[in-house]
Amino acid sequence: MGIYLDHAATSPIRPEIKDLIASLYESEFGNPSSQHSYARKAREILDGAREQIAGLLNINYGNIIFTSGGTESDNLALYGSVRNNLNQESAKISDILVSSVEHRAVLNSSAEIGKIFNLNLKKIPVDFNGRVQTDALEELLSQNNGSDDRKLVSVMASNNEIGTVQPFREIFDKVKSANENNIYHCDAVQGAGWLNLPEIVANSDLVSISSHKLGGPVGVGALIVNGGQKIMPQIIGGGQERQRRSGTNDVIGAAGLAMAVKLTLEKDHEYFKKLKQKFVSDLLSQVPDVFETVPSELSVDGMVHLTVKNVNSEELLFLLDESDLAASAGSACSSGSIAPSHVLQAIGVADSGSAFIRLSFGWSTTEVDLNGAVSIIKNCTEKLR
Amino acid sequence: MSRSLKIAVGMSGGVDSSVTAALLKQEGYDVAGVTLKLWGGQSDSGCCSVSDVEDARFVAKKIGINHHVWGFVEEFEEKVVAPYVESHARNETPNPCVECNRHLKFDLMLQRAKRLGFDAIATGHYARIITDENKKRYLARSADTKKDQSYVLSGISKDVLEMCLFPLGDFEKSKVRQIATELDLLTANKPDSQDVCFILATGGRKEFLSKKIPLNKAQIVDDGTDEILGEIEAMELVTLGQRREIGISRYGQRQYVVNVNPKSQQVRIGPLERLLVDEIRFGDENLLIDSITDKQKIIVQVSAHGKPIKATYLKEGKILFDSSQRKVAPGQIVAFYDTDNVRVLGSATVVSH
Repeated sequence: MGIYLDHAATSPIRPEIKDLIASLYESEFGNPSSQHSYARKAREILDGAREQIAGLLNINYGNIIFTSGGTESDNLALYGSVRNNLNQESAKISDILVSSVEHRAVLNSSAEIGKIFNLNLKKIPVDFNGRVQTDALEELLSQNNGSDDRKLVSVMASNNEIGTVQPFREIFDKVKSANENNIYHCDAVQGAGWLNLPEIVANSDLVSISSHKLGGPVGVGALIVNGGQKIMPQIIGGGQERQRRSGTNDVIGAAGLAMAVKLTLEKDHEYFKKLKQKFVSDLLSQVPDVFETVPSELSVDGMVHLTVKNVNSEELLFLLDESDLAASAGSACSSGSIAPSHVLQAIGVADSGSAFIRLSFGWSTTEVDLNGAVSIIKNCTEKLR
Repeated sequence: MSRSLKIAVGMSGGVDSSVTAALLKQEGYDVAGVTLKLWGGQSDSGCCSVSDVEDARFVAKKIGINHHVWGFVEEFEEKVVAPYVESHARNETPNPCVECNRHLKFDLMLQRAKRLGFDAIATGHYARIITDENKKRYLARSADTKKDQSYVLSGISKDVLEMCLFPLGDFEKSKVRQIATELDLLTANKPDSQDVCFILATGGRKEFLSKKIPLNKAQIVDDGTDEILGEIEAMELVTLGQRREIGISRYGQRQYVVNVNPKSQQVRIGPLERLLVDEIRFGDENLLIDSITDKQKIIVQVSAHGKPIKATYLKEGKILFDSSQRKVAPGQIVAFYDTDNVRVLGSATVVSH
């Protein structure tokens, strides 16, 4: 059997969640918006999921908007905030500030939304490890366009490619001390599995999460609204999710997400920390000319990003795949070739003479997997050199 | 049990390479499809050539092989696009397909395939590999001479022939489409690609080059009388022997471009006889056999679909035509064939006509 180290792309579904979903599909159906017993049962499951997540994250249950996943949540956070500009005379959002290493769901949508609403779109620079430069953020926050203009800031909890953890508490403090009406959106799609999610929620106005990165079903996520920020809908229809996201609810998906959040919060973080430490030290001692692109202490426990000298990424991935080790390199272009990564460019390591591979862990990762991965990486690297 | 040969098939997303992969798979080889991502700019097939890659992937799935995309965007720019532009800037007529085969498909792709454990690469080119009694391999024209593509392959290194397969070399094009239809491949009726892949059909060479180099006006001059007949917008786009776009007929005779003089910014035209020469000079020779002897009788071909011309090869870098021929634009590739017009002996770049 193969070794799967691409959980940052998607995790296999946890067995408990699979059982839950399977049993719900057997016994339950019903549109929670209808008026009969089937609907009531569905609503019970949906509200139960909402309440469960709210309890786990210490928020009001009305502050969870179920979506189709991380990308939709990110889009809704940005569009849903900025769209208020059309309804109000003052305190409009004038600037969107995003880090240069955000996921495309934030980078590309903020560019589009900025264009549509004629806003200033500014990039917050990062250091060589991909951490947002908070001084630069402060400077950008202090640039005023008018007395009551607000700024929308979007910085992820941890990076999807290199694993770097962002100083989200400090960012939140700076965003709010510049103007308490500023909005901080945190894309926690990757970070939710590895960082303290309740703490992220407590230090943000808006948080995006996605179920399948946590071992839940694909196609469901949530935008968590913590700061009382009004969110206008980008999908308009029957007015579900308190008029913020129309469309018949994915009731069973929501239940799956709730269980995924619960199991994630119960995860033994020490176990993964140790796994990663051993994996990295084995790799560095056994494979020559390999190093961590970002030091372990700055990245999440679920991800290792390697720079492999004198090897080509596509070739290394090809051989890893042949040896049944699933890893990833850069971000895949829609054509399937490996596109130059904006993240690596932002941290100044987009060197064409090296391979870059991301190995990401999840709930099913074992020490046996990682030991196997070390010897496969060693063999494949030797073959190419 | 010996393992079957592992072959990487270059799949462009067209019908020829689709059938190539299918045939090799049927013959029991361990086949993987590889689509090269070469061009980073705009193309007629969309961003990243997504639709062609998708077609190749779809076909690969249909015939039951793995499919990979290998990116050589920077290398393509360096080895094919930039030299193409520079060549035009020198008023030459380059052939980017020859350079792409030489540097990308039959060098970078082949070397990568080798590193990744493949025994050979195959493409859907209409050409053949033939072997002599000593098992020595030669590049040769395809059986379907109308479709023959040995000319665009004539720049590859003889060292790589060991690792190349051209399974369509014995087929007629119509047969290839028939096979594709029988196998229900979605590329069965896809039209053949015609033009330079990195140039949009809408803007053409002119728009492409105008963004990279200055395009200069030139006078159209009668080569016999020195009379100025008009003006042409982009001298860099004019090729020797061209009639199109010059549009002048004089003395009841067709007129051809017989000379392009960048210094005096003149495009000189005249009747066919002024275009004829008895020899051409060449440089950058690439041989696909061990050697060609001085004064050896050979056949040459000077464009992708040009006719075979009888000639004599001179080691000093000259081809003497048996009978007068139209001039050949510098930058063009001249491919050498044996007198049977079957084996490719090599090729070179024309430096002067």
